Amino acid sequence: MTEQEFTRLFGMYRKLVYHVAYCNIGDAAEAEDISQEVFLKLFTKPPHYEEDTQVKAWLVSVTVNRCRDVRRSLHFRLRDHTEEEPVAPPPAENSLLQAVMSLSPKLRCVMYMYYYEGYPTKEIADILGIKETAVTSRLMRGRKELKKLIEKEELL
Amino acid sequence: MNYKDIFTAAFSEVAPRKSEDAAAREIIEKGKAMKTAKTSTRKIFTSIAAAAAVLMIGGVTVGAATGWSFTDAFDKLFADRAQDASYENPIDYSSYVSPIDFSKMGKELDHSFEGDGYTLNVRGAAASDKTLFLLYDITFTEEFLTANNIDKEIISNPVSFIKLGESSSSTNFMYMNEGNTFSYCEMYHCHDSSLSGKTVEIEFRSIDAGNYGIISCDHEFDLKIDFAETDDVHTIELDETIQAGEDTVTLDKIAYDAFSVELIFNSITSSNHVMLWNTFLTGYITKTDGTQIALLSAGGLSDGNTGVGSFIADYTIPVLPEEIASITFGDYTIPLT
Repeated sequence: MTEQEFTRLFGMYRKLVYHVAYCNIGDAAEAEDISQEVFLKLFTKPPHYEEDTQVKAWLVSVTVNRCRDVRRSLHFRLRDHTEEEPVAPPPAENSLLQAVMSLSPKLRCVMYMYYYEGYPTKEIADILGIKETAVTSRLMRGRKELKKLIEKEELL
Repeated sequence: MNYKDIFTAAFSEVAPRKSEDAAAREIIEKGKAMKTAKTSTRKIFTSIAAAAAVLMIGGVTVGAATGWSFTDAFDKLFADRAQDASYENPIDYSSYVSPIDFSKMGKELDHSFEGDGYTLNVRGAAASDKTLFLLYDITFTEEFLTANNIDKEIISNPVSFIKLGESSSSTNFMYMNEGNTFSYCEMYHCHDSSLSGKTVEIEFRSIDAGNYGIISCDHEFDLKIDFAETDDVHTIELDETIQAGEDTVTLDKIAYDAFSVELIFNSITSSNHVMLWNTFLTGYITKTDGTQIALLSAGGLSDGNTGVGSFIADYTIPVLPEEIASITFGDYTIPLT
């Protein structure tokens, strides 16, 4: 991949990859590291693509996979579980983000992809490797939990 | 309530800290360094050991009195892993059958621990010389789940550790769920040493139920497993100096069996090995029939004093060592045949 093409794709999808990683992991520094790894893979081993949307799907898929590896890793589990510190300290002034990040990673990830990125449920299911019914179930449960949180905190 | 607006407002301020130009430049430089390193001279590889054998496990064992099936559990576990493997890989693993007979390399175990609202059952263990699989179930009472407002669908990985000394690493994952019973596999990797003659110490801490560590377990015990000597690990000596960013390292040898591969280094010149581990972070094995199986990085270890380190990765599904044509880490492909 040429530097010019990489820079173009990086500009287009950097925020997307970072958001997906942040949603999954709930940690800004870790999300940045994962983003870098994903784009390093794009630069050194790009997928075959004809349209940008194919790169986009590939990036999301690789990011989700990498997040899963990180969550399984001893390093991540040792850091997050033994120190018992909150893994997702979002900007204090953004109470909506705090509410979203207090959902479980599985719920907030699916909701992010559906509501923010506009992916249809079938595509989310394909990317996450789960059934479409699981996606709709998570969306339903996520909406319910988020609504309860927002009403309780009077955020809107 | 408009959830699209909520997510738009929530994520409006979530952005990477580094500037776009600087971040892009950094990745391009790293990528170029990796490509440059790829062109370094490769030397002759010599196979030292190639005879496959099974590892015998002795110690606390019982029969299959509970109806739990050792072989079925491993079949399910690796069918699950095969689904993971198909994630990035175009190969259809839907009819995947493991080439490994796990009944010959492990035994059922029966350790039970009663917690407040759950029961932990250690079910069985199987091992090659460098990789140990420990299977266990946790069954929660309905009352416990209800009282703690725990949704079964979001219970995922436990926090548990297998300890066999400092030079080790482990990963785990849930491979099955039936009702209130969740089945887990803890994989342990032995860095540059053998499981032979070791005793496993296991520590269970908690279960991830959406909010980390919400279900505390806190069981720590020694599992007496006597690992017999085995020669199922294939070891190939390397003598190759590579450049990984600012690090110059010598690849000393590669050791692999049916489940994982380990690269062993010496003369690492830098104490910061992030770039080095990043170099090997992604990879795959290529079988003799041309198909590729993804590697899941399990991490690296290094000793700043001696300059010796190793990096280990699992295959997403088992592969018979004699069917492996080459192993690729990052941009380094090491032919094995």
